[in-house]
Amino acid sequence: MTTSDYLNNFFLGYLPYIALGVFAAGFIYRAVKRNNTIQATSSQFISNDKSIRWGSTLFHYAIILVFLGHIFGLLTPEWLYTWLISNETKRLLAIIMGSLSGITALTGITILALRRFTNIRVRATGQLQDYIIVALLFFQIALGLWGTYITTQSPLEDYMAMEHWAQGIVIFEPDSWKYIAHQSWVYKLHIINGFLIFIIFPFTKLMHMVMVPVHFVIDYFRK
Amino acid sequence: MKIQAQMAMVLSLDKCIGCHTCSVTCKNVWTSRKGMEYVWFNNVETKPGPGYPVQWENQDRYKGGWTVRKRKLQLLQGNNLSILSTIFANPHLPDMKDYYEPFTFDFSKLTGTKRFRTAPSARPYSLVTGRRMEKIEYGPNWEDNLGGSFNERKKDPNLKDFDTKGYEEFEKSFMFYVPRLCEHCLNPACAASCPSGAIYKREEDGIVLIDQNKCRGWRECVSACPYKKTYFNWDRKKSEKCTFCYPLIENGKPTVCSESCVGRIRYIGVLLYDADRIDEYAATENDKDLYEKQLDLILDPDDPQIISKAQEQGISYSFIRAAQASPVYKLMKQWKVAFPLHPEYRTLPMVWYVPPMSPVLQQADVKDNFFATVDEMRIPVNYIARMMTARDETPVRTALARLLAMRQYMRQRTVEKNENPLIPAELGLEKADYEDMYRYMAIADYKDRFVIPTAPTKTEDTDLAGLRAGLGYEYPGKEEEGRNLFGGR
Repeated sequence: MTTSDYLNNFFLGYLPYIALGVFAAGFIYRAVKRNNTIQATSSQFISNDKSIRWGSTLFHYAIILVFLGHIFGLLTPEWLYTWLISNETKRLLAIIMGSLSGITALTGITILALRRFTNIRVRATGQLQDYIIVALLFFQIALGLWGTYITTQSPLEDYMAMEHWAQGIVIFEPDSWKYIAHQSWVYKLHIINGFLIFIIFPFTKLMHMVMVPVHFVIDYFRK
Repeated sequence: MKIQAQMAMVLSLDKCIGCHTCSVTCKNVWTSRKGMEYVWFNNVETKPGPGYPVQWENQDRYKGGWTVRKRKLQLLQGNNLSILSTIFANPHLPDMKDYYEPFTFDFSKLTGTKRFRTAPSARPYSLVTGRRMEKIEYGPNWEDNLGGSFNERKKDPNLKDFDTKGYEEFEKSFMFYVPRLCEHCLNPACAASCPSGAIYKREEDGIVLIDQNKCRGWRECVSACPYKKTYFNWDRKKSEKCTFCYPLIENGKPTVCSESCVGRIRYIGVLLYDADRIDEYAATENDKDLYEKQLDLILDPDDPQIISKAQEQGISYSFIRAAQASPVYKLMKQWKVAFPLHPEYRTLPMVWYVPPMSPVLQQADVKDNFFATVDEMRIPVNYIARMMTARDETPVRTALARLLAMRQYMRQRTVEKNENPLIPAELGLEKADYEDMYRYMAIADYKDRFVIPTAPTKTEDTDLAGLRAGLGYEYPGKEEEGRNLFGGR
């Protein structure tokens, strides 16, 4: 086994399980033991400026689209969607939707990052995690967009390999890392950075996204 | 009919001297912590003035309270879905600077041994950023006692389309103090706007509280409360609000602000109300009818039918007794001299205000014409009506006339030694009413001002024998500490 095989195997084959393991354990720990700390820790009140209103809104709406796109693109098995959409169309959809929402999210996170690093009031009340998260997300979105560009230049098989890898991980296929081992380092960095975000997720303010106010929506329809 | 009990308060603005003792004692007890420096659960404002936070009554900007859309009550902020759609950045949220930048002074300069050529001064610095502030720009009572220019005071939203001509002159200027705290509304907008459902109204006494374990810091309550009485703790990033000092109330004691009030302006008592009709009454089409509707919601605690129903529905006897002796009921319903603050926000606030009397500018011609005298008072009735009755002047004029009549009655009794003073028929009160009004408003004995039942205890399902050797309290988190996630040791 060459060094590059070893690294590919570790980061694309083992890291996902490590990350998801930490994620699951941390998630349970946070939800059970530190439940009352699960929140977004918004800094809007301390500096209610245009940058948070635009940045936060753009970023959140776009990142929700991106999230749904990843679920559909990576985790939906082929037999579940072939009757609806062909692989070529799916790739085209991914490229269009991905770049549109990716650019929006990047705009949002850039505004938020600038605010986070330059606004005196925000800096004075921020924590270390705020800086780390905004940086990680910025790189993640930038890499994702770059990856989208690479996808436009590469054959359909490369695109499909992503899906096979992700679903292989889910069903514990030992060699699934080989699907994407030969692909661009941009994809790989996106994946590694992504799992890094999974690892820190339960221990940071990122947990706020599991606090979607479902009851609030139900209340609306009940009235 | 669903009868519920509400702990309510009356503040007699007639007696408020604006000393801020209520605010300071409240702050010392509840909000002298990091993240809460700018917070005053109780604050005293000089009106007219922009208030704290600035222009809090301007609902075009903050979208607080309720409105009626298609005959149905809806938050001015929008329905649940539209609130959720802006949850990433609440567009109506006030900025901290709308309250004020919390500051302290750098006193270390004054105490050192260094020699100065000129007298050193303590410069202010921000408690948020820790940086020196060139200028203090706003505060919780910025336009205190008519401080500042008239143009600044004119930013008071109550003066919108009010003919202020002449009022900038010293001879005609007017002011009064309004101490404000959480209204513990019957129809709280803060609770309805909370995406996490963290805000609740206690069933036993109607106190509105925020569950700190459920609050996720979405900040919707801050803008939804039309009185701006839920505050965002910028350090903990959760909302906090006035608790009506419930630990004291449960033990039959008045709140800190009431206890410490040197002018004895505050009254606390129980009201019984019909919870089934809140939606209907709060959705009343015309703003001006809201005050009367709110009065209708409050039930007569001496009515035998109400008493038996209340007991059926599990309201304890001590609460019914307290409701019968309630000074709040007497002031707001029996004599109708206390009004809600801005009933047009439709939250059905439960802190009531006796309008302030003021010197008469020109002696009215007609002797004993109380209404003519009221109209000559320095504080325009129109202004008070904008704050307390959604611009309906009649109830305010009647209340002020009654206060005048009470004074005249007592003057005849005590100064002129007249055993049977004249009772003005047009005001609709009787001899006993004036005597009681005098007792409650002028003497204001502690026991008359505060009629607070202790919280009902559930003796039937408490294991009294088990409690015998117990501590009476638990160690916080003790049970969890020794156990693992799955409950085992």
